Amino acid sequence: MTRTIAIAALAVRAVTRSHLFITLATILLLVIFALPLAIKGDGTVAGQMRILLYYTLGLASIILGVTTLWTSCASISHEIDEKQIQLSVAKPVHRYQIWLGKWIGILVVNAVLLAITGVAVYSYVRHYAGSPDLGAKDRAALRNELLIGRRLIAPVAEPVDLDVRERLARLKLEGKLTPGMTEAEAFAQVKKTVLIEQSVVTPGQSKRWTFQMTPSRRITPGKAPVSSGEAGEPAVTIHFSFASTFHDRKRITGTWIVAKEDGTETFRFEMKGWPDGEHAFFVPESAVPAGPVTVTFTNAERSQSNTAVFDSEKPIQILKHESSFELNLIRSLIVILCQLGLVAAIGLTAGSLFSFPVATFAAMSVLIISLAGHYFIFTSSSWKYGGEKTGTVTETVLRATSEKVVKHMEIVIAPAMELAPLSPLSDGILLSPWFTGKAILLLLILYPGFFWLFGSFCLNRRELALPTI
Amino acid sequence: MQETKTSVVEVRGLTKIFRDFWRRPKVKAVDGLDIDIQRGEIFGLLGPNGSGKSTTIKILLGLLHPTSGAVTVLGRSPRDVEMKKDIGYLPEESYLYNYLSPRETLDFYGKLFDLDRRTLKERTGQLLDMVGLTHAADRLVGEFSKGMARRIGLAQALINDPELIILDEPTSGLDPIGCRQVKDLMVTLAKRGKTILLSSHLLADVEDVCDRVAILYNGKLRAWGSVNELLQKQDSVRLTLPLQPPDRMKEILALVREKIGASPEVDHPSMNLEQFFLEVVEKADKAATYQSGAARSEGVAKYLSHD
Repeated sequence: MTRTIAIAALAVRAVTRSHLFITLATILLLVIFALPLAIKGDGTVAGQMRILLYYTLGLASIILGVTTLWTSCASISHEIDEKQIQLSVAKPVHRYQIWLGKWIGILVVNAVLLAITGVAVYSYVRHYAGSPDLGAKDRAALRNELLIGRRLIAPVAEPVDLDVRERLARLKLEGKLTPGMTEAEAFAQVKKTVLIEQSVVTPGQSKRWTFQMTPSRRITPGKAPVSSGEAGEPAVTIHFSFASTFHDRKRITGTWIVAKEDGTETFRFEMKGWPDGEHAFFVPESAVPAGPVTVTFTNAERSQSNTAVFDSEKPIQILKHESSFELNLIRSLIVILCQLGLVAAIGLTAGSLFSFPVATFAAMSVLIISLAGHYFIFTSSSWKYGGEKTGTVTETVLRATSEKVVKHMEIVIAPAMELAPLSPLSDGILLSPWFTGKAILLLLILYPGFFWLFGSFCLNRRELALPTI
Repeated sequence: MQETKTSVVEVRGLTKIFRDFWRRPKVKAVDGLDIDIQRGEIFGLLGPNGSGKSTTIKILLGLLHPTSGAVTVLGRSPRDVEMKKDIGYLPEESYLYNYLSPRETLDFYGKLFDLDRRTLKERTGQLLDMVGLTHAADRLVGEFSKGMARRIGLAQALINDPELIILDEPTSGLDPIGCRQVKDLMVTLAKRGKTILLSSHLLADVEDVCDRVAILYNGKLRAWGSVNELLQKQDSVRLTLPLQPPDRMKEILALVREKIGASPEVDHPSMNLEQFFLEVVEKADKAATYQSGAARSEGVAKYLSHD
């Protein structure tokens, strides 16, 4: 381990003794303090702060990501080009130790720069939130919606599989299934249709969702969020979005009722809201005790054309205060550090294989393909339902191969892409220990571990003293 | 009693072909090389530029892979990492990190040998003293002249008190004092049983210190053997006498002519330029009060000079 640590310390020195470190730290601080002046929010204080958090940390991550990619590509390839690696390899050092030492060194530098960024962002946010120019309502909005870590609780999924199977059998009998579609694809499509149908609430009708509430796990002391009308009482947020079937946008009126399992009503909220937007209302924490809780929406409209259609995948969510903004920010920074760790691993592996310019292009290509992966996956899933697949044997083979490739890409890329911390942080959504742990496991251990093995293997096979052209 | 010599480096039929991007053979840098280097000897690898000396060394260190042939170093494969614990290497150029000071450089390479803190500190101090850079120990290597960087390169090659020391052009860039010190160091280390592989195209250096040499040309071994065997003219003898008065000199020459039937060559033995230069500098050094470059050291690092 001494050897790996010595190489890591060398990598840290390489960065800190160049102008790179000071330049980067200065750029990051400039971004944090100058960018807010250039951004116009949605007019609300919470909205402004949300955008600030998202964009400043987002831009800082991009700057660090690009620099990490460049540094990591250069770290090994430059040493090979400059022949310094010949001295290290002539010592009793395994090449996997060289790779690992470089990676740890780059990670340490990133951790320091991220810590500087985090402290600067936190200071800015606290300064803004404590500004005497803000009214009590704005402060409450910041405290309740943004500077907080709220756990998302989704409703218990309704069993629909039986309905789906019955409908699927009927469609088969009637010969109405899309040709070329597999059984699983047809089931998924019919299930989607059933769920959409169940999300429709016509005038006079009601829709009920059940939530399994757990005892409060608030782990940070301090003030709990409060509803604007009931100062001092802890509150949870019920968040929902819906569309309207009415061809002109018109506000929909309705009633939300929160009740215990036995039907005892605990809270009522009269709604008059615009469709196609995000909505929320506060409920006292006592109204959603541990155990099953139901939330019912009744459409109070009279015109049949004014039907509310809820999002079939995320119709309604309960947001419950569980953590502080500080802890959420720290967890976000940890996840960003993990992402940078993966970028560094890709760069080092490219540097183990190629000379510096080629390594940079290769690493950037891998990142771009990964980032665009979601788009490819989405596009390919659309093709699946695009009708009967015809063509030559070559086309069929190519199509089958590409589908397999995309499917495997999805398995690898999708879990990593889900680990985006900035959106939940800027929405005051809790980044759970599980989320952070998953980021550490995937982005800091599993994926870099693969690149470590592959990069070390390539470095081990590579002749490090070939004559340069 | 005859001493049994063991091979430290064994090379059999070594061939190295460099290929282009499409794997087509481009250059045959080493061609069927056979050499043996015995424990405790100073072995010189001689040859003009591009003769395959550095390529052979890099194969011995596992930096290049042989195209064919067998190589063992200290009884193991060159790619065996553990074997490198006993090797010291000075490349043809120093390849040091410009952003480190000499002390940090030695500290870094010492840690790669897993040396404990105390040993590392002791050796660093002694080596800096030996290469005459104690006064510049905390300046950055990037600010150094080529000769000063070379001295640090030499120090790092000795940080682990190696059994086999591979020196590629060790005197390149060094002043005559530095050259002499390096040669003295090699002799001292060989006396301690260390094996030294010296690659150079400076024939005087090799002649001064090497026990045996191999001469390479175009990647092939052209001549090898002990320096004395290779250089001695077996058909003539040199006789050195104290200065004689002219009359007696005539008598001696007449006697020699009478006995061998030919006239002997007569000249005055002279010191070489290196010896003359060292004498001049030694005198100047005694009078000097300030030093900005490499200082004159007092000898070999303590840990390198005793068993």
